[in-house]
Amino acid sequence: MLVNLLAFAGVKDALGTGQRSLDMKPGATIEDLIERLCESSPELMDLKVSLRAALDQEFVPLDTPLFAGCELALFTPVGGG
Amino acid sequence: MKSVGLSWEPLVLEPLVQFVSTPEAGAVSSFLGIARNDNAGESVSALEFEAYEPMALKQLDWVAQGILDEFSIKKIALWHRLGTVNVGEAAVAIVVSSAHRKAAIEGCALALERLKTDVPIFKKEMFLFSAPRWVANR
Repeated sequence: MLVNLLAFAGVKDALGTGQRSLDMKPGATIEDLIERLCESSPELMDLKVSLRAALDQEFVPLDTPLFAGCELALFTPVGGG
Repeated sequence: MKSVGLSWEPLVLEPLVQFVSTPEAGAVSSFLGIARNDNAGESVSALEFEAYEPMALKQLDWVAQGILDEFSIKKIALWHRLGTVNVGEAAVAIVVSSAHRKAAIEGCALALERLKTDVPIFKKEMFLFSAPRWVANR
């Protein structure tokens, strides 16, 4: 299943891109996707403990399952204000 | 009634004060978050803000609606800058009106706290003498 990944702030820097598409196995969670990203982008490991996620523009925990066609945003803690 | 948004242009307080002002409002409370020139001894030259814009707009609206629902508020304006914010410029503007002062002051303060945790806006500090870095709210 295809997942549309959006990356912001430090996550974007670590991945070297703000947007990419990933093909994940059915049942995969956000944590599974992060593990896969860490294999190709080791810089992401340093951010892992502070990562937050939004699925289709809703904050969700990292053990949330992905689904086909979803939009997953990954970012470090927010800094507005 | 609420006015929320993200702006690439400098934030100006007066139009927001005019927006929240009504004949029924005896109190208007405002907050401007300003880019300052120092962070823990390092000289800051500017701030750079980026956002997950569609979600940030939804969350700004959620924050504003929550304040309207929880306090006796007449109107609220909640705006945040994107892009480069120079030292001395406002990064965020919150203006709240109510019949009496307590609701306006408390609503303004709570809107800021929620914005700082629940709106996907990201800040990079640009330093005069060292490399820029992303900064999370404490």
